[in-house]
Amino acid sequence: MGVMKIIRKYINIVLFCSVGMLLFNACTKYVDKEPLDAFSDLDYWNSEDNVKTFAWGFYNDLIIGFGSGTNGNFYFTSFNDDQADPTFQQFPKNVPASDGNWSFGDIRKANLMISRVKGMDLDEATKNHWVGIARFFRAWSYFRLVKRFGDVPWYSQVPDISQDSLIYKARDSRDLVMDSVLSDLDFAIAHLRSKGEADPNTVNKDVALALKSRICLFAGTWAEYNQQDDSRAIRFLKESKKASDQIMQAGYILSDNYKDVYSSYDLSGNTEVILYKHYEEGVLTHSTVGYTNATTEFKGLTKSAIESYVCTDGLPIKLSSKYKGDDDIHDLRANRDERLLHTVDNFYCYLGHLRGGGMKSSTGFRPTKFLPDVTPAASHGDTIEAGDTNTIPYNYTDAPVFWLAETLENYAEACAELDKLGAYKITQNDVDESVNLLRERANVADLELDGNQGTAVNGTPFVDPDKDPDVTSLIWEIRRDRRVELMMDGFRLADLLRWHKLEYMDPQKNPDAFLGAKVTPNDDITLNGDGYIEVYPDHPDRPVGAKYYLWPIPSGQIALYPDGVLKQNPGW
Amino acid sequence: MNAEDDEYINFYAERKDMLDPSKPELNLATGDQLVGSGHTHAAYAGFFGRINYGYKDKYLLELNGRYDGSSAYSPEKRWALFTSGSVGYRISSEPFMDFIKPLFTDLKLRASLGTIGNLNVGGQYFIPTMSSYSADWVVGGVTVNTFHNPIAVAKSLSWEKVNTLDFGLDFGLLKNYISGSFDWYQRTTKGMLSTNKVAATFGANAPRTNQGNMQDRGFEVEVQMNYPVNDDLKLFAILSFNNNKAVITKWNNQAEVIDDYYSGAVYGDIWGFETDGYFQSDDEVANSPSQSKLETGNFTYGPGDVKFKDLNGDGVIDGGTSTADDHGDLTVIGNTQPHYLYGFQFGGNWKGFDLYVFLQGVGKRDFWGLGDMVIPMYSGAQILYKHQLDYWTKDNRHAKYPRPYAGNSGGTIGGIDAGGNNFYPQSKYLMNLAYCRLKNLTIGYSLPDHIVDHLHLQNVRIYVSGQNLTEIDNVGVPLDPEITDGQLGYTGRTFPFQRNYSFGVQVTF
Repeated sequence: MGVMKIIRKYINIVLFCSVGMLLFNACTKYVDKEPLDAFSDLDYWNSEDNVKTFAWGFYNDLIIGFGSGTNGNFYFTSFNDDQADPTFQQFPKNVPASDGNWSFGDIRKANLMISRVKGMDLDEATKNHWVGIARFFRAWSYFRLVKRFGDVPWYSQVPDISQDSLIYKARDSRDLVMDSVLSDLDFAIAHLRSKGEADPNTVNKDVALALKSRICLFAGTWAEYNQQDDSRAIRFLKESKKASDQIMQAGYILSDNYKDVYSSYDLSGNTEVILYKHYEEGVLTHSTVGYTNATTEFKGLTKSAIESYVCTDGLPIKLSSKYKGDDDIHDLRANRDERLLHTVDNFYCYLGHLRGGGMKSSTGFRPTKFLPDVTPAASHGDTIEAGDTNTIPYNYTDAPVFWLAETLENYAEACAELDKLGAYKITQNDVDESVNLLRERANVADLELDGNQGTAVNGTPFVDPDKDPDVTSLIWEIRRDRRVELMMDGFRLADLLRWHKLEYMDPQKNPDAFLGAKVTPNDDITLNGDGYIEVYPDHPDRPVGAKYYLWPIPSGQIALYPDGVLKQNPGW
Repeated sequence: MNAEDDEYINFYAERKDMLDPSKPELNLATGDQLVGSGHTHAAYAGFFGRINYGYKDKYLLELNGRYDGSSAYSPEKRWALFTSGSVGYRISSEPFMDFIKPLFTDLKLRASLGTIGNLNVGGQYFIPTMSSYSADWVVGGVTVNTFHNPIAVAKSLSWEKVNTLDFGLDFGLLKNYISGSFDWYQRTTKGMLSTNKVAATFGANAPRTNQGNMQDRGFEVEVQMNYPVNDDLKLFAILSFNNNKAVITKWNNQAEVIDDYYSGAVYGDIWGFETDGYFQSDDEVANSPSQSKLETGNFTYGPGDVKFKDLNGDGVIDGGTSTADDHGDLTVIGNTQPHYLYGFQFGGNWKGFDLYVFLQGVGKRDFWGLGDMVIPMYSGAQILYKHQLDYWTKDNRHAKYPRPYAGNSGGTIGGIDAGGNNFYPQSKYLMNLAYCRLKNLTIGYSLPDHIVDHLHLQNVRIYVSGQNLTEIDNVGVPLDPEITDGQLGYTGRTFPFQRNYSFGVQVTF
């Protein structure tokens, strides 16, 4: 009996333990809960469609176009000598605590996508296309960083949180980063699907060429004017020229009208456009039209910008017999480069002289190039109706992202700079196939080469009396054409940086940057002695220091690093 | 053992442009139709055992052990053992304590020590989930769907454990007319789950990991009184009071930047400058420590602007490197956590009348508010609120607010809350959220029994009641001291605090 009792007890314990184990196993499964309504990195990467879906995030982050509020790449980018913001804009005074531009989210995204796509079961060409897409956007992200901050840490892998030495590494030199950017772009160009193979209006080989043309022009001229490194300049300018040339051979044709790329509801049929951002009524809209068609004071074009447009004979206003002066806007617009006529309206509006239901411009000039076809003529009406698709924020014209005109300007400039550096001999054909196509479209006489870096029109050499003595006449005229072609398109500040010409924004050196139109006086505005609008009547100064060529690294980031690892930019 | 699982499914459908708002039906609307859904689940399970022992109701002992598993943790780290125990000693039952009997009816000492795991940490932070969003890119007439980067995860993620040590005392006084308790506790959270600051080069928000430990010490007192004066009059009162202070004892923040926790940081501390009045003249600006490092945009400090104290005496106002070792002229100016919380309830019954009063309050609490309501022209050239009209001019040199300047949201000093130019976080414009509120006042009258019986009812009571009737506070801006949130992070941009008045008749059949 006693033995039985012990055995029974033993069995009970075994049973108890077994039940316990069973329960525990059941519970282990019980608390295993996979996410139901979200993918994870572990189960997402299983089809090309998923990769494509993931890649749209880059389009969201990096292709701003007309933006959605006041963040557009056009018109709102007024911190330069072309536009005068009604609120005086200054260079940053102090190192900010934080700066959203010091952001590596898209670089992480690109590195993640590269690593995941490589591990997928796709054919080699498909893999290379998507790796190319990721590298294209990595290049673009780094270009944005380098433009602003100079040296930045280069990442080609996704850091894990445990990798402190990788996360907190020092900045790499801008040269190293730009070399890596170039290699990303070359990979993309070699492996991206062609325009015909890729989905319509997505990143393809041509788009990568267009980005390369833009980035390498920046890197080349930066090296030339800010680093005095001619061999580096030549290398990048040649790469830019080569990429531009490939675009120019790819069958893109300038549209008939300068304004088309800026003011069309659908750019899909436009032969000039390489990539555009499509807007759709009620789905995705912007305000670029609205802000040039509203009672909010316009960031008007400056006297400096307006006077940079030549006359139809191809000559600067100080040389042209066709220039009728600027006593009124009809004289000002007479016989001028048609790009001016598309860019500013045929009336002045300013405080004390409101037009069209209350419109006013800081300088008197109303920007018009983003207004769709109904305007500017219709804009003379006296009222702006709320809810109108030409008002904030209901605009749905498409925004160009890469288009032929920019590439042509890049080409002309690269040729002229290479010629100046003795690395290439520019030909009349180079000019005819680039800026002269744009000048012809604008009804302006062709630019002709004259000897070494000289210029002529209709066989007569000329030099603009206002030419910057630091540059040759050819470079001056090509830069002028770039300025007017890409007026308010978001390029000007970057151009001044790479040319080392921020001084054009200094009112001591370029007073016209703070002046507007010559208008009839009234009590609400201040005119200077010659009768031009003074946008800033209290004469603020905007001295340009060497440090402004790079933005400061946010102090909040520096504080996170061990002492001295993340170095501040010079002068800040 | 116990086990619990939760599953949440939500689904919604909406259609815009109703034809008739009084008939809100999907098929009676004409506009765009939208649907959406969400589906999440979580589970935990635990095996536990408990031993209770009491000897003569004088010595009390309890021991607990639990083995818990939660879906919040990765399979490798999922299960953990937690133990706790408590002892009690009813000292009033000891013969040698008889001398207190005339006063104390009951006196008991308690102590407990134990650890539990945090089962619900708000998600599964070990899984690199990817959530979808709609990109600003149109294909085929609609914006395309895309996915965020997977959230960063840390392999080391493990249980957040809370260890509590408590010493308590329960007492009953004067035939238990008065009773109460006192507790002193120390709660140590080990392996707190949080995200730390990581350099932007990481490219993502830092993963949730066990960042460090926090030690929270405090006390709680509650005293209750119930006293029937006679058959007609009964009185009661409850007084409660507590306070605590939490200190970070360990944190993964080597640089000890002050916008994250660091070892020695007090939970809720607000960093900022000490305000030293206004600059009254250009001379004063020129002869004071330079504040030029604080200027943003077109702003330049001049007469009528805020002057800060040069706490480290180096002639320059700045935030050093915004670290615990080098914080320039920054200092701790307040704490966001409520301190000295109290409640006082009292009332009574007298011949059918009843009264209930509830006062509630916080003794000390500070807050740095953001937005145009608390900081004049915070986001830009906004209209001034009435309370902001008392600003500095040459004829109003001791105004509440400085010379107006539009655009004060961004500053140049890392590690502190938003605000710039004249409105860096600072002592002068700190919101004071201490208050005493009349939370509830109720007066009722129950009809006498003979009338109620006559009506064949059990009870009829008429009452008036009010909630949040009034308060004593000095917030500094016209906001309720309990409102700290708001849309876009703009303090106060939310529904106002409500006062409720009610009147009612209660009838029991």
